[in-house]
Amino acid sequence: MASFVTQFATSEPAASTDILTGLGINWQLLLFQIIAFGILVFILSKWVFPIFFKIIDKRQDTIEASNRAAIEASKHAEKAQAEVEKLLREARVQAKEIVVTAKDEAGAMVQDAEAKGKAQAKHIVAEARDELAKDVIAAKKALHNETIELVAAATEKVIGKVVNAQVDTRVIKSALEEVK
Amino acid sequence: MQGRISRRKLADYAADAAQSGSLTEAIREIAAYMIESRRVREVQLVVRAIEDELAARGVVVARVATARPLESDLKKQIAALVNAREIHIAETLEPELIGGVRIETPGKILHATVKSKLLALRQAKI
Repeated sequence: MASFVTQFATSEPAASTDILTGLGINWQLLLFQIIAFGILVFILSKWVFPIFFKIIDKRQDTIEASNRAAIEASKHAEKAQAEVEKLLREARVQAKEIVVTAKDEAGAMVQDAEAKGKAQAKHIVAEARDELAKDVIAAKKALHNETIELVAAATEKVIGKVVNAQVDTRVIKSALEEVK
Repeated sequence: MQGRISRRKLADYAADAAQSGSLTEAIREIAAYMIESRRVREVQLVVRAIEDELAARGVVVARVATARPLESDLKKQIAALVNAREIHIAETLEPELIGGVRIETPGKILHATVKSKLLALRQAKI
């Protein structure tokens, strides 16, 4: 093969070889290399690059899809975050409402219990007063009756000794006068 | 068989006898009749019936109970109080009355004794 390349190089015209030769360039070799490069480029662009381009495009599509997916995921994440924050806010609000409601209910229960307790206490006090009043009335009655009995017994004994004929006559006259 | 004579008829008979001045005899007859007819238990009722009948005819028998014997002026006051054509006072002594007087006439009764007042006081118990 080296001899083939050398053969092409030696078959170039002598006129143009002056300048290129002065620059140290073999134009035949250069031409050959240009043609070979063009063939290479053609081959590459015809069968190799499309594959690579296809792979690259596919890769790019994948990357873009991934990117879009990432963006979408990010959006979803942001949305989810917003949703979470919204839910958290709602949960906080609901928790506050629950706490407030619980406090209100607890307060109402306490007030209700206090009211019931007061009412029961009043009822107990009223009953105790009634009971006391009944006892007082019963005691007064007993005292009244005992006093009457004592007075009657004492009067009977005293008057039995005090009343004489004159007193008796006065009593009878007084009674007769009252009847008139 | 002799029929049963009512207390009212017995009372009428006794009242008639009292007005005609033969009360004692009539009382004996009535007593004998009641013993014979075994109505001794009705004696008090018959006496009441006779008193009622006499009161209807203007003769009142007043049962007066006192702790001590009544003075004459008190008897006069009682007679005046009864206000009848003729009054007979049947006086009984009951020392347990302590004082005062109880007068019973047919259809009326006056409790003015110390005992009744003490009883009323005792009944004032609650």
